[in-house]
Amino acid sequence: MLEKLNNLDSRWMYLALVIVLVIPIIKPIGMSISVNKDLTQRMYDFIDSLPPGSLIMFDLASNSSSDTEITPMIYAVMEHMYQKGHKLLVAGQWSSGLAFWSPKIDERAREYGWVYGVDYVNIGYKAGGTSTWRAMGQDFWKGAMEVDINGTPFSELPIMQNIRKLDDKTIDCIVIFESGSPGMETWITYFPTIPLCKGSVAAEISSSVRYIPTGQLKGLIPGMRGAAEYEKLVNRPGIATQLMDAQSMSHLLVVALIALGNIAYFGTKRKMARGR
Amino acid sequence: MTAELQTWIGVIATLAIFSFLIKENPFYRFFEYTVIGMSAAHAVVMTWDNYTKPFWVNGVMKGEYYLLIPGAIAVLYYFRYAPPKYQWLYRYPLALIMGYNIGYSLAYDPRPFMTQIRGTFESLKDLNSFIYLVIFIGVVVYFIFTFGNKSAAVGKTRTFARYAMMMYFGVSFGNTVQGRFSLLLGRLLFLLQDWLGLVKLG
Repeated sequence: MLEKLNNLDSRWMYLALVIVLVIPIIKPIGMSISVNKDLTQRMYDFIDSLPPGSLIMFDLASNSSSDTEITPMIYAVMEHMYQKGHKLLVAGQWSSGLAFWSPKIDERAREYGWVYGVDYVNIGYKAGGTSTWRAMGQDFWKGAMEVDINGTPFSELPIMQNIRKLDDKTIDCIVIFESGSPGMETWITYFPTIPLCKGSVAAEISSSVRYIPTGQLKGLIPGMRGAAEYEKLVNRPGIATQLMDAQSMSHLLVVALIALGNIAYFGTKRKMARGR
Repeated sequence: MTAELQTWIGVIATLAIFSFLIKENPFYRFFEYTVIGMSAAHAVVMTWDNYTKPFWVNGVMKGEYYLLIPGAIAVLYYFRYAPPKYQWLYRYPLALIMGYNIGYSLAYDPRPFMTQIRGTFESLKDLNSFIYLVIFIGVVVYFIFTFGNKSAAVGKTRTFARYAMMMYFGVSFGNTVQGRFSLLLGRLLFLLQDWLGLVKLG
């Protein structure tokens, strides 16, 4: 039995994983979600503390492969901004991220009745990396080549009239949705005075939390779990909340498999030692 | 079940990639190469849209002719493929970009790290910060005394640091696994919702 378990074909585990994920999607259990006070709650509190009408900049530093984790975060933060009456500036260090999420942001903005160019704007991808961002720090219009994602001149967009520099006097908070590099290092290195929050894919959480105690990060949404927590805080359950049951069940399966694997390994070892 | 062609293509591609879990097969291979080809094509289009077109349309054609100077320097990159006699020219843009980036890094990169180091000692207000400091010192000792130290204290500290690092790697790995499950969930949701119409989330 133990040997059988030790040599179990990994395809059975994949099958078990799919079953464990599919059942709670079709028939949710409704497990409760607690909010992480040190990460998600901090970010919520920070954005909540900004006066209505504050300008928040989204940096989409990710791509479509992180859709399931990042999209619910973007929606939850947008919901919070809508509730608080904040304004949105969309930018991105990854061109693929902007291409993927811009239509989704537009769709959600239409739902909120936001007027493009007044309540929110999307400046599109600006090539050149950190030197371009630094140029925007001196003169936003010039650094961003004076046009938005659609090629509309900044001069025709009312919201852009007040955005002349990328600094803490203009931008009240940057929220970066990140799954790799270039990412938040751009902001903590070159723009340390602008408050920074982060929506992070799960793989990046452990390398990001150390920036919380030093204040380099004001808050963090950790993976899809964090997105579900933020959805709870803004009182608008979305796709992350609905998928948390499946996520939790998959974790239970992994814990069970780790336990079984160890039992099989040590059991077999003991048996072999006895045999000798 | 949907009749949308776009969804069906997505479904076939998804199932083809997942079929690798059963075993390597031509169906999987075909879609693997398709992804690689499409990624290359996508990169070309994105480069045109994000780099080449804005350079000409929003820059040069609006009278900012000085941009032609860095543009000309950038063209030197292609001398990498020129006859050997002229290949040295590609080193100029490379040297410029290296020098620029190193200068930038030396000027700005230490700041966030210094904030981190200061924070390690500064915020000793709870047990967590104390544990953080102890692990920090342990790991510094681990990497400083990598070779030839026979002191028992250093040896024990290094063992402690090794365990601490293994725990960090474990947490990191656990988070990565969690992230990968989220990606899988996304694909399963696509199959169940967009294709089969069995659920309606979001």
